[in-house]
Amino acid sequence: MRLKRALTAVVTVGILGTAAACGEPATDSPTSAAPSAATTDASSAPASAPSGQQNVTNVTVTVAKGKASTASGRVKVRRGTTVRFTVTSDAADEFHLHGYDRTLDLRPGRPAVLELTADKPGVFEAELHRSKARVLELQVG
Amino acid sequence: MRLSGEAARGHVLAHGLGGRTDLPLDAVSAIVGGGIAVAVSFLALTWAWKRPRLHPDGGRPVPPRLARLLDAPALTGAGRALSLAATALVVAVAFAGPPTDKRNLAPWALFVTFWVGLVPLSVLLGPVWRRVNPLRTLHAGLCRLTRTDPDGRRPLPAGVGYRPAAGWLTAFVWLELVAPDRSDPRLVGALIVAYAGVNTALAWWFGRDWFTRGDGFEAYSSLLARMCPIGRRSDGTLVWRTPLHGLMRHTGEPGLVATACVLIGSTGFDGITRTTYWRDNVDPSSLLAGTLGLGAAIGAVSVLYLAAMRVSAAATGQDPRRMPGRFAATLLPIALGYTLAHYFSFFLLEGQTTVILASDPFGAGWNLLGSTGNRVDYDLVGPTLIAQVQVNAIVLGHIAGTIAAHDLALRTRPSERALRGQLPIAVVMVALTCAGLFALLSG
Repeated sequence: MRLKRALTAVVTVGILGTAAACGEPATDSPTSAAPSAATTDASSAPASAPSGQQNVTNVTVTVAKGKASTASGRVKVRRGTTVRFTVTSDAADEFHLHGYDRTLDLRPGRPAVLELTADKPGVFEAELHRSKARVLELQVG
Repeated sequence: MRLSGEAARGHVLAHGLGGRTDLPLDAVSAIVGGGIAVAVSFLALTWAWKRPRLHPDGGRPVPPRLARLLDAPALTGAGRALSLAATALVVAVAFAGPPTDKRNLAPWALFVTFWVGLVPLSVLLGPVWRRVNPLRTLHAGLCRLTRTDPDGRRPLPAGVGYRPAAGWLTAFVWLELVAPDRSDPRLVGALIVAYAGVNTALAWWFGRDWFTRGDGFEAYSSLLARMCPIGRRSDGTLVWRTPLHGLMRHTGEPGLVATACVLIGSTGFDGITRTTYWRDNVDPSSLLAGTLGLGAAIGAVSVLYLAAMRVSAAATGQDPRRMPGRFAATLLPIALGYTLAHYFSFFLLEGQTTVILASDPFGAGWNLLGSTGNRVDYDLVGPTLIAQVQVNAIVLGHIAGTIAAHDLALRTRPSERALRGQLPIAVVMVALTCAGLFALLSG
């Protein structure tokens, strides 16, 4: 019986594997969110404080000398939450959130803002392209 | 895209690619539940399963017409042509396609479609890779060209067994999980070519049987195929069978323990590196930490297994040197369970990338499959299904291993000592279940 169940699981994998097909068409609303402009005191905003709007999680990242620092190495949000990353770097770099495949251009000293709806479940890595520093993981689910 | 080739390299992504991992589960309840399930299964076995039931030659012959179809030389020929063409395409794209893993399918084809896809393929369809292995095709061609006997110039020493495969698999998992720049398409292309070159040369020298236990991927595929519901009896007849029957045929093969421990340990290690414990305490891009961690994980599994075998041998008065090899096959369902748990979503989600990129393999603006520019559909398998598969795969894998070990024990021991000898194995099974659930499921 257990064997059968194990087997069923394996069969399921195979079938899904063949059906896995070709992904879904890109629903283009891609890349660059509202960059910068939102100067103010974004960098001092505490992480995951609802800032006026409902269901917005603020994540503040500071990059100095190629090292990123955040309040938490893993940001956990519910599916459907709006997540707003505010990234301030001391050097030009590029912030990249995998899976969501969103990038954010960083210019020295200027906070850049990336806003997205966390609609894909899983744990996604965010990193800096130039310095290759790991920033954080976004856990959606 | 703004990604320069330089910038896209050097990232340390989950499983080497993709940047997504599964959601963590409520690890404590899963660990406790899994451990209890395996312990209870062991107790149930000692009570209800008192004589060997798994016979290497068990099973019901498949209908002759189906058997003829499955064994048709034309099917082999087609499979070989297809696998050779696919390999050639991947290598060509690796070198001539776009320079980064974002747009080049080669790393995805190697690390996801091939490496992970080999598992369901072999478990469902049998030793497929042995039949279509493109290296065997290359070797046959080389032998014809050089007028060399395909059986080689020197026989492979008998005691070598699966050790070369274990070595290759260790190298591969190190590449997949630790090596820097592992998703660089050019590197992937070079490594495929180098691997093919070295193994074909070795087969030219030692004969085509080299591939059976010397080619890591063929050996991996054939070992998994022992758990296939279709198998071959020793007289060559194709039979339907309970998958565990296939584990009973071979015992005491050199290097099999090492191979299984590499597979289990490496998957466990990949799970550990995804936890916040690892991430917060270790530099994920550190070559040294990765190498030591991988080695430690493989070592821990090996030590646990060998220690259990030693205690078991002492309890039953058997030769402690022969015990580990005799029970090695019981590790295979565990390796399968770990793999399934860890790579299930990776195959179905990140595996889509191979197909998406295959639509325009050389970055020339083609749309061969109509999927150019598509994105991975993360809703193909949801978190709930993934979680169910993960827990079930690990727990059922260990239960299957426990059953196989129990059946072997009944066969190979004086029965009054069987129970005592099995206790250490059962303890290890429970420990591995809990460790596996912890490594693979906790955040």
